[in-house]
Parts: sequence; C-alpha cells; structure tokens
Amino acid sequence: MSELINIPSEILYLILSFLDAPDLTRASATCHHLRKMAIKSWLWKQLCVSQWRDQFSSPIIVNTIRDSYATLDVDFWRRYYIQKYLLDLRQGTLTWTPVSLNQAAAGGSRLSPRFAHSGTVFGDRIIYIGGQLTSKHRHNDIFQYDTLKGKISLSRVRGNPPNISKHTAAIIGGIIYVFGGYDGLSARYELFSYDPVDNQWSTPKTFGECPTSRSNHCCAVLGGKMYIFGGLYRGQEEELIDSNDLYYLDTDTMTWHRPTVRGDIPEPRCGQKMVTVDNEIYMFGGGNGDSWSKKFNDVHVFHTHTNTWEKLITRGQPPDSTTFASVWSFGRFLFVFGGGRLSDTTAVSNDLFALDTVTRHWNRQKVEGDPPTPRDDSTTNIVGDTVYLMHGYKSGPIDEFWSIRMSGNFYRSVCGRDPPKKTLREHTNSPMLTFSPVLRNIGIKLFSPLLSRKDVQPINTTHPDLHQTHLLLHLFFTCLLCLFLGFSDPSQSPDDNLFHIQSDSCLQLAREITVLTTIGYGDRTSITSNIAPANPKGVQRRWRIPIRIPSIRKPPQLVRWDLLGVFLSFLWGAVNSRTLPPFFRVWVYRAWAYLFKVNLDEVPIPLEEFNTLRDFFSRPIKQGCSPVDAKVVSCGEVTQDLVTEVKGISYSISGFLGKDWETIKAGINSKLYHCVLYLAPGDYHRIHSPEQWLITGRRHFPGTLFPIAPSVGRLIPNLLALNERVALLGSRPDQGFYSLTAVGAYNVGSMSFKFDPAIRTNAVVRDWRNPNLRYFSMRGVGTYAYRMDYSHPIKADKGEEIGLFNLGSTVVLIFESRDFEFAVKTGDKVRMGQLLGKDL
Amino acid sequence: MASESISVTTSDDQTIQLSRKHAQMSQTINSMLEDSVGADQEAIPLPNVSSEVLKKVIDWCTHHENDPAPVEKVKKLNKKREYKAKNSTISDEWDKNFVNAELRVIVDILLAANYLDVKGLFELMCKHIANELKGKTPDQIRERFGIQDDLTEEDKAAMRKAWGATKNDS
Repeated sequence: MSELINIPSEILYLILSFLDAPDLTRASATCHHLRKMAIKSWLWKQLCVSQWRDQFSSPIIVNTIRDSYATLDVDFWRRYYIQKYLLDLRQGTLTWTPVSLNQAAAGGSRLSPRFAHSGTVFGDRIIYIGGQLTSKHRHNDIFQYDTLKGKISLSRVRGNPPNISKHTAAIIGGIIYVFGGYDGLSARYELFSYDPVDNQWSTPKTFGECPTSRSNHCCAVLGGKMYIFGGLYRGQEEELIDSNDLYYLDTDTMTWHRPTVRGDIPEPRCGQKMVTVDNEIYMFGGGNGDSWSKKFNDVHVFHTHTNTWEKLITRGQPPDSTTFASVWSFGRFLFVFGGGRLSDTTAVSNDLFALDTVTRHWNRQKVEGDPPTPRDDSTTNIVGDTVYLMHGYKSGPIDEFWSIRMSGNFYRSVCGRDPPKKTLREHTNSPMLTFSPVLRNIGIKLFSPLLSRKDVQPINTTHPDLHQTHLLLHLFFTCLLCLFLGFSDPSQSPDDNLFHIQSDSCLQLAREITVLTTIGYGDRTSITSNIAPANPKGVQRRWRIPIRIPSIRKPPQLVRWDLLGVFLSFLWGAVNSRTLPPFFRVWVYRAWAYLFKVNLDEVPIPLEEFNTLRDFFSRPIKQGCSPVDAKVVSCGEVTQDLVTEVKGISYSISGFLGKDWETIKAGINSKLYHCVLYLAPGDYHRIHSPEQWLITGRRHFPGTLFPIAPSVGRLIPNLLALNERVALLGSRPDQGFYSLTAVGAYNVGSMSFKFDPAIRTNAVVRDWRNPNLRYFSMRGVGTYAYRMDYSHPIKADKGEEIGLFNLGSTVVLIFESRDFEFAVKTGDKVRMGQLLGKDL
Repeated sequence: MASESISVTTSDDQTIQLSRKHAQMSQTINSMLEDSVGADQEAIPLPNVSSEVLKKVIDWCTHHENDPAPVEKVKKLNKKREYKAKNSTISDEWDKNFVNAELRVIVDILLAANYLDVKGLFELMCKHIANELKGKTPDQIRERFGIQDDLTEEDKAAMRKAWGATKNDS
C-alpha cells in the first residue's frame, strides 16, 4: 500500500487544498481513495473563492451562498468551478453558429419572418406557435423544427388555432399550454392546449379564477405548475393596464390559483421573461408606462415554497437590455441576449450577458464567432448542447435563425454527460464538394459551346415529361455510381484508409442524390426564391456551379452539373486508389502533372513504379520544395553566424532565432543551410510546408515592422532579426534540425498559422500588462520571444498549407542537412512547390 | 526552575535528550510539560514517533528555533483560508534540502509533526507533498506515490474529460 493513502484524511485534505484545479483533477484520476477526497466540495469552493476573489469578496455574498448547494449535490462546487472557468476564462465555450435553413430544401418548409411567437422544446423538436408579421397580420400556423434533421416542417393541426402572438407557451407532461395573446384586431385569448403528438389544438376546461386575458406577460414551469406573471391587459374601459399579479395553473387538477405573495413585489410591467433555475423562478427585465417610459434590467426571484419575491442585489455589469430579451438558463447561469436597450430606447441589442446565480454577478459573456443581427422578441430554446434563437424583431420582423453552440466540456459540466451526437452536419462544417478552379475552367470550356446554343432553353421543370427525364437520369447515375461502389472492393486493398474514404463518399453521395432528386422534382423557381433569403452570408450552396455566362443565369438542366460534380469527385476517389495498369500509368501521371504543373523532374523513380494515383500524389520526393511563390534573396550554406550577401540582406543567425539558438547549435552535427525568400505583394501568400517535418515549437518575436525589400535591407543591418516574426522549429526525419520563419514587414504584420490560433501578430496594443514588456520594446526589440512548445509535435506534410501572410513578406528557412544542393540561386523567382534543392 | 534539557522515549524504546526550547516548539510536548510541573526527570513517552524521525524533527527545530512563533500567523491563516489563494512554494533553502528525502520518511515526518503539533514543520511537509502532486499526470502520480490503479476505464474516461475542462491553456 502506498504511504500517501496511509495519511489520515484530514491531513490529506490539507495537502490537497494546496493544489489548483488541474492538479486536483489529475490527482482525482489516480485511485478511488484520492478521487473521493479530491472531489470534496469545500476544496472546490475554496478554489472558486480564490479564483474569483472579487466576486466572492463581499461577506454578504459569501454568507448568502448557502451550503445547501453542496448538500443537495456533493459535486456541486466542482461542477460550478468548471462552468465558471469555461465561461470566464476559456475561449470557445459558446459559439455563434448560423443555422442554415437550406436543409429545409430537403423536404421541409420555411418559417416566414415573424416575432412574438413562442417556441417550446418537445424531445428533439422545437414547436413554434404563431407570431406576427405586422401588428395586424398574425400567424396561426404551427411549425416544428427537427434539430436532428435540421428540417422545419409545418404541422397539420387538428382543431382551429387562432391568429395568435404575444402569448406564452410551456410544456408540461407532453402537452403545450398556450396562455394569453392577441390577434391584433379584437380577440384576446386565455388558455389553449396543444398536443404535439396528435397535433390536436384544443381549449381545456379549467377551474378557479382564470387570470384576465393578457399579452406580453411571461411564464415559467416549476413542478407541474405553470406560473404566469405580469403583462398587459385591457381594463373595463378598454384602457391598457400593466400588471404585477402572479397566477399559476396546477396542471394535475387544471385549477388556477392566485397565491398571496410577499417580499419585494416587482413593479407592474410587461415584456419581461421568466426562467427556472434550481427550483426558483428568475424574472428579468420588462418595462411599463406609455411608450416604455420605465424600463427595467433587474432580476427578481420568486421562491415558490414561501411565495416570496426577492429582488436580487446584483453586482458586476448589468445587461444593457430590458424588454423582450431572450432569456435562458443553463447550469447555474442565466443568459440574457438581445432585447430593447436601456441606454438607447430605440435600439435593440445583440449582446449576451450571463448572470452567475451563485455570486449574483453579471458579466458580459464572450462568445466566439460573429454575433447575429440585434433583435428582440425572439425565442430561445435549448436542445442538447445548442441554444436555438429563432427569428425576432429589428425595426421589422426578421427571419434569421441562429444558434449558440456550447462546448462539450461546458455541457458535460452542467449535465454530467456527453452532449448528444447529432446526425445532422451543418453546412458550414461539412466538407464541401467544391471544384478546383482548374476543373471548373475545364468544365466551362467543354460545355460552353453547348450552353451558348440558343436552342437549349432553361427547362421549365413544371413540365411533367421532364420530370420523367429527370427521374431516369437520376436513376441512371445512381446505378452507375452504385456499380462503382460494387467494383472497388475494400478487402483487396491493403490500405486501411480506403474503406473509410469510400464509406464517407457513400454517405455524401446518398445525401447528394436525395437533395438533387428533391430539387429536380420541386417547382424550381419557387424553391430557389424560397431558399435565397434564408441563405446566410458565407454559406455556399453546394450543388450550384458558378458559371460566368451572362446570357443564361442557370445552366440548362439537361446537363446535370451538380451530378457531374458528384460523379467526378466520386470518380476521383475511385480512380486514385485503384491499381492502374502499368501501360496506362505513365499517361495518367503525365496528364496529372500537366494539369497541376507538377515538375516531373523532381520525381526520383520511374513513373511506372507508382501503383495508384494516390501513391503518386504522395510521392516520396527527397528534395525540398519552395513553401511560397517568391524571389530568392539569399541561399546557401551557413558557415558563420553573420550571414552576409552582397546584394541581399545580412543578418545574424543567433539574433534571428533568439535564445534558442544556443541549444539548437549544440545539437547540430552536420552542415547548416539557409534560404531567404522574399514575397512581393503580388505573390501567392499562403505558406506551405516545404518538407515533411515535425514542428515541435514556435517562437513569436514581437518586433518592428520595417519594409523588407532588399533596398531597405541594405540600409538597416540585421533587419530580419529586428522585425516581428514567427519561427517554427522542428526536425526532419534523419536530417535533423529544420526551421521555417515567417517574417512580418511594413504593412504586413499579420500572419496566421493553421495549427496555432494563439499566435496574434501585429497587435496594435502590445500586451501592456505583460510583465516582460521591457523585453519586447526598445533595445530588446526582436530579441525575445513568446515561447510555445507543442506537447504533441505537429506533423507537417510536404505541400500542406501551414499558414498565410496577409500581404507580402519574407520566409526564411534554416535547416540542417548532411549535404544539400540548391537548385536555385540568388535572384531567381520560384513558385510554390518548385524544387529548391535536394539532399545528396 | 525547569532543567534545560528534556528526555523523551520514542516508539523504539530509545531515550533522546532535547533542549527545552526545541521541545516547546511542539505543542504536544509543551502541554505535557505544563501538565506535569516538577516531574522533569521522567522521560516523556512518545509512542507514535520513532527515534529516526524524531531526530529529523529535532534537526528542523534546531534550524528554525529562532523563527517567530508561527501560532498567530496560522490562526490568521485559518480564519482567512476561504479568501486566500494557497501558496505552496517553499522559500527557505534549508527547507528545500530538508524535504529532499525518501517518500516514506516524508510521510513519517508529516505524521510525527502532526502528532507533536509542530505547525511550521507540518505545513512544510504538506506543501512538499502538494508540490510533488503538482503538474503530474495521473500515471506519474501513481508511479511517484506507488498508488495502485483501481479505477475502471469508464472512470478514467470521465476524468480525462473533466481534466480537459480545467486544463490551463498555455
């Protein structure tokens, strides 16, 4: 047995209390005993308090944090710590994601622009009821959004739902209860019920004192009871009255109750929202008076067991939104998005705020991604790890459907389990089947004579015969593709990857065919007009090929461009993994080389030796190719620290690579070479990996940004070692040290690297809070670096894109090799992928 | 007038002499002395502490005999524990060498310090063990402390995920 376990628990707790969160978590993963100790609530509570000392500092706050939290849930403080940590200090916990309604094309309908509707979660679906387009035009339709399929469909409702908006809806026991609302003309409503399984709309019979019909009220569900608070109703003389009364409907007995409430009863208001957090009802916002003379951004809590209202004393930055905000709760946090601004009564907000219900501290919540259009009167619903934000109002109804993705860790810390897996892949995330520019050009060249023929008219798809033709075409292609699938037998290939590739393309194929078939059948014009506005910017439609022929907007449907795309890309997959007959190989590879300008001189072995096209792609070239399109400023062997070139740039290697040079130098046991490549502003600006190598670390040297053109280089000695740069350090198999450094220049500070989003170059404000600032300014400029060593070295394959400059600049390669012969000389222009030289 | 040296009997039946000043750094011995005024000649039995460990404790006491009494400080710490981040760095160079010992010895000293109620030493040992736990993967901790792995794969998977959530970004 271990000595550590023999230590009495109380001492072990003391020891554990010295650890921070990651260490505590790791310690808890060693054995049962430690695990039991390390998840102890007070350890984590102490961590919370020390991490967010400002929020916990007030004794009032600490006293009000009842330990009942921990008695109900032993794991409470640990989970709370993780939630708070993720929201406060981690990036990427919440991400704005537009929900593409393009999927509606796959057999769904579209939700027209609307606001003041209601959304209720039923299983994986969200049921949207009513809403309004204008004050007189209100909807009576019920839609359901299937979050798994990403499809909106119109429910066929039995019964007669009225035109209704500004109502509330809540689901209790599988039945949606709709209360209040107004049709914009005369009718006001009380209670309806809707059964989402039978699609039955009905008016239930209730007992007790039913609240006056109202609108802009709010509701929340707790323990089988639907609570209704506030809202606007018409008095006896048709005057509008803001209310602050609270009712609840007990759905077991279908009886209305009006409890006698005590405490800080909120002012009469409407446009507020209520949500349930931990058996208490939180109410946020609202306003009252003529033209919203009074607006609130306060939070009230209703304790249902004592029927008491409590006005929360919150701290931090309260949200700048009041009426008709979107409010939801997740874990211990209350989120408020959008709503009418408090500061500017005419504007609506698109900020997200989070209230920590434990410390009662408001925070402006960071969310990744671009925020959506400001709005109010929207609906928010949480299904799985996603918050769906449907439509809303911004000086008119809008029809943008957004969602906030919560990270898996955050979801897990709240729900204690993994987020549900989605079968749906969003358009933005799924790999696109796109054409390379080369292929597209070939396509245009091949088919443009056909397209420009006057007798081929765009097809009117409403013609029944053409439907038949389409069907036949589809069937034909489907069969063809299936044949291909049948032909390529994965078991014959020793390559394991092959199977995955094919099953993947099968899936894609199936999806493609479904989409296409549906489109082929629908009324094309109506579908396109339906889809177009719902297509948020940045989401590409996959099956359309842009063809720049002004006279014909759409390609004639006889040539199924879309299917051609599927077909070609499929052919691609099928061909490139098949063993080609030897006599055929040379020609295929030559053609390939011609198309993509592969320099066949670089290929060290005869073309016939490659079994498949795929082997040819990843041909083992032993030589280095250029990472960018550039001009060679200087290249050769490095014999001394200071590298000088007559015409080009001089710099000292030790200054250039900084402090690490000492250690690197000690490890070098063969010759060292360097190559400086200057990118003119017109050159291709992506950086590709010149070799197959392992990137083990990066050094980001903040520095000056002088122009790097050779003319300036002559004026400022050691210029390269002064400018801001990012050095990637690593090694090549059996050749040793390898480094690629991207140097920023005047106008060109910004570089980005695919695998390391943490690099932020050319920041105007250069971390003034950085304690080491003095190293990064004045005399130390360009000498000190932010260090980062990757725990898992990043494998960069030859030709793989690793980063990009946003304008011209310089790439410096410094590497070790036993013997390297440069194929280029100073002053040469090189293209990306062109041979730079080879190891002898 | 009490004599300048006090004898104690350890668990392995050895009688060890230690100065009154050192003995008073241990709250346990101190209270025993106060309880038995006049019975100075008798050796105080310490059945939980071996002579080897006691010598180590005396070493520490000798080095720290001139430190200000930690009692006040510790009391304050306890009161404010909730609001203060705990710092486990060991500042004293001598202490760093002192804790550089076998784990078994460390734990024994820790237990002895707890029994004898030597505040400074106890805290030092706690800090040291906490430092040993820091920055290590579960496997490394198991190896270092010889802990047997009795968690199922599911437990570990859950832990790994939790760890992912609290992992610090560099």
